[in-house]
Amino acid sequence: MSKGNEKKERKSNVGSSIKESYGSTSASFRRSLASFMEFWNQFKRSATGMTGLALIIILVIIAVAFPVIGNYNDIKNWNNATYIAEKGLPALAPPEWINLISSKKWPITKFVKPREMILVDLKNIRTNTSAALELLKYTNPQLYKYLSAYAKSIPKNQWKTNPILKNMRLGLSQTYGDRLEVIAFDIKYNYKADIPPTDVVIRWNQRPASPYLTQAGVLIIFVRPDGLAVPLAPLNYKTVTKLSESIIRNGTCGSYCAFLFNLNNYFKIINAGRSMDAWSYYGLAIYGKNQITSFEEFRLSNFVNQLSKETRINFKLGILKPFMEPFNLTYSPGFFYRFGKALFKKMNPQMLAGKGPSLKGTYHILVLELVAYNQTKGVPSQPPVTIKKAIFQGAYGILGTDRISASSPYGRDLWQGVLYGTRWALIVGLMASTISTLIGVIYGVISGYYGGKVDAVLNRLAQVIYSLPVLPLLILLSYYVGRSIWNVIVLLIVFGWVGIVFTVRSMALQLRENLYVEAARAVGVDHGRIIFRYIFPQVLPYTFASIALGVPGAILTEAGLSFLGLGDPNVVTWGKILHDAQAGGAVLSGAWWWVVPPGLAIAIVGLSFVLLGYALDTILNPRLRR
Amino acid sequence: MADGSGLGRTIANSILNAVIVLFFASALISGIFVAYGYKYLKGLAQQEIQQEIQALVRQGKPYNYTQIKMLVYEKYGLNEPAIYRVFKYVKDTFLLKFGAFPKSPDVTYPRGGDNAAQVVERALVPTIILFFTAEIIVILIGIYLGFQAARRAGSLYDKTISIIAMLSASLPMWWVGMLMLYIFAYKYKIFPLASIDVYSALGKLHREFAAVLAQGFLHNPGGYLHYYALYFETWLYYMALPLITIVLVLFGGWAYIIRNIVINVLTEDFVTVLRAKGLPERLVLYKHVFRAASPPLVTMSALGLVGALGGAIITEIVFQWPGMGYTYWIALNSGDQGVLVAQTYLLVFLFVIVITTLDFIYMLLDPRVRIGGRRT
Repeated sequence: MSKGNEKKERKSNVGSSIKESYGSTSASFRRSLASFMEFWNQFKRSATGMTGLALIIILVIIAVAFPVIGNYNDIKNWNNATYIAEKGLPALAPPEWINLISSKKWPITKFVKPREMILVDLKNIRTNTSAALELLKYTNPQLYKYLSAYAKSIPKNQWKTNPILKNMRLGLSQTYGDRLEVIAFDIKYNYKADIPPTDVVIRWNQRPASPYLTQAGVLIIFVRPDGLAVPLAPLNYKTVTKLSESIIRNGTCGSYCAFLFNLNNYFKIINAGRSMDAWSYYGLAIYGKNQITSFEEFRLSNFVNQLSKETRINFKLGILKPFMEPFNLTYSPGFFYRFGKALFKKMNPQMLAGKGPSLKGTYHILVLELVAYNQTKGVPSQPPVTIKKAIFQGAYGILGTDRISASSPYGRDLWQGVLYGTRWALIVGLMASTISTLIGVIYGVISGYYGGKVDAVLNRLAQVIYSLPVLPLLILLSYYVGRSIWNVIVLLIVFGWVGIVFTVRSMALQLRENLYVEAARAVGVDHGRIIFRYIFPQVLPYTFASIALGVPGAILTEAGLSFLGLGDPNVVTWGKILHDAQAGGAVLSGAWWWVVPPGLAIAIVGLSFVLLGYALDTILNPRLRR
Repeated sequence: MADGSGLGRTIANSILNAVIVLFFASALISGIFVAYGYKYLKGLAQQEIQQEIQALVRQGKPYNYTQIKMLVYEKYGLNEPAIYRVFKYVKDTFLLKFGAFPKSPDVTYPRGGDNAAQVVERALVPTIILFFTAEIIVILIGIYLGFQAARRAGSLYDKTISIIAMLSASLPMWWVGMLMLYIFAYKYKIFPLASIDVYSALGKLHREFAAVLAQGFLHNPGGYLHYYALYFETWLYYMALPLITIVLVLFGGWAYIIRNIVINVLTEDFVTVLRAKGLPERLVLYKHVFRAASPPLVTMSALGLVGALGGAIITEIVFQWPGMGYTYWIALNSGDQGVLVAQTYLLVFLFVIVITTLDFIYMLLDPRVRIGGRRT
């Protein structure tokens, strides 16, 4: 065949191809569908590509369906300290499945709602033996069983002279009022772990004090499964075990004859000129005539801390007594008494050091609300306190909790944060990568297609930006430009578009030599049309692979910026969670559950796109890159 | 001469590129600082004015507020118009004179420093020591593993390398650092939880051995050797964990890149010829293939360095390594903008220098550049 003929033939081919591209849309649609099917058949065979795609689909589902599968309120209130405190999740709680890998069993965080508590209203209990017995039902069921049987065997008129029963009453001096009402909340806690609960929190609502109140207070008593009742106030209180021993063995209360609950002493202590705030740490909160504490929460850890700071030794010993008396322990000033742990240990001499086996079984935490008033003046219309909830803290949720600040007792549910982070990781990664790749491709195509001076200038500019280290400039810019996730995305695009330019440019340099481009130019098709209709589509396959491969980089950079504290403060991202972990000393506290999941999530998203990208790369552009 | 002009043109080109990049960066940084840093500078100036007035009052001398203000403002360049200040900063930063950038007096850095220039200068050394040691190890491991993988392309060994490469491409290095810290410092207590004390530990060592060191090496070689052994051990103790982290995250990607380059070279004719001649495979690989693969390796290492330094800098924060990354962390958290700006430019400078140097090495290695061919 002669040269001329060959040229003619080519030209006619080009002509037809141009015509085709102007042809009916349905034909072009069918053609692109066919090429897509061809691609899909190849892609299906790529194990890595399918794995990546499957992972991405799952991630997209998580991101879209978050309001259904997650708790959107947690995310909206991620920085809302009031919401977090109200929710009351423990700080630095490990995930619940820690019991699968830990040799020591953790307790699971348990919330007890008011309706699960037993409420007993003991009206006019003052110096009333039957009411005191009723109270004993909750503090010491075994002793109650014995004593109520005993009381039944004795006629009521003899109760006042009976050596045992005359002491079974709540004492209150007339100065505090002539009537006393006790409302007892019985909070049940089933404890089966090896590690004591990290904290016990009891919350209540206060109402304004009634003017008729002469004295009111809240007293907390821990009743252990072994029958030992431990009041968190230094009452003139003999350990119930000894008392019951004495009664059962000797038939009298002997040397333990005293008021079971001497409230005179209790009110004397709480009125003893201590500041209200300091008192709030004890197991008692008080209301006087005109005073109401600002305190609406009891926290065992605070109680233990305050106890260790307590300077009045008798006071301290009054509380520690139940754990010291049986072993004849003496007080040592330098020792930190681990009262909170001892509460959940089997009786042993080392229990105040937090040692020994745990005491498993059902604990009763009694919250006694004591209301004293003078009947002659008026009756308070309602009790001043209603219990909101009790929290027994331990392991929590699927991924545990973080800690909102170094000194805070509160944490957030990390599962929600990690789950929600998927959404922003995908938005940031896909948006930054797609837009920057498209910009880079168009830039590269223009540079390569025009060639000459345009190319020289554009290429030089691209080289300059390419030689700039991205991270330091991103740090500086995000510091100044303002902490918004959209700014970060824009910055990622501004510095990210240039990576693809050089490859695309060299592709365009080749493509523009193609005859159909030459022909199109000869026919007079304008440059823009040539670029977007003939060159750009040829480069497009490479673009898809580049977009996929660019996603991990964008996500990693955003995470890095957030880790530095430059992220959007109002958007929960994995980088932000890790920043909080770093700033909050997660590693130093051993809170691996705070560190591992967000980073793993970043890695999974990155890996899915890398897998997809490599698969696309091998299928879509075997020719052009060589 | 074609030889000289080709090389000369390429060198000139890459130096020009470096100069343009640095100029662009310093203009960008200065522009941002002038646009956004005014309030910060004014705050510092106000603080200084107050101090000077207090000093004068203490001495019982009279003072003129306007005069002091004028002087201090002049020192901070607050009196000049913005455009002039941009020019001034560009001129200063471009030549690495950070005197124009003040440091907040209330912020202290791990290695001290009275002004921004000192702070970033002192932070530079630990970063270079850590990062370049890591890079050397990574490159050596990468070359070895990459060549092995290329030789056995398609084998399980080769696939493992690819998988490691893919995995580590999506891992945040600093996160791996947190895990390493948790395992080896918190859980097993082999390494320190914070590396910030490395210099004080070295100083202590130096003081302990002051008498020995004063004697001179020849008088007490044993003592000297002991000192150096301990010196090395101290570095290793504090640096090991960040070093291992960087190497762990980077080596896979490196090995994979090297494997790809080597596989490309292996398909070339000269390799077949060498093999046909009966040259031992090891010689073919490490002598001839290595030589042919070295120019692209250098290019890739430039890219690798650029990519890795960012991650490594954030990783420093996790270990509290007293380098540039940790300086960033402190400056960002305390809003010390002078140090932030100086640090950013120094880092840009470091990047550009490294890339330009590698460019030169590329030119020396690639015969096509030397004889005037065009780089593609």
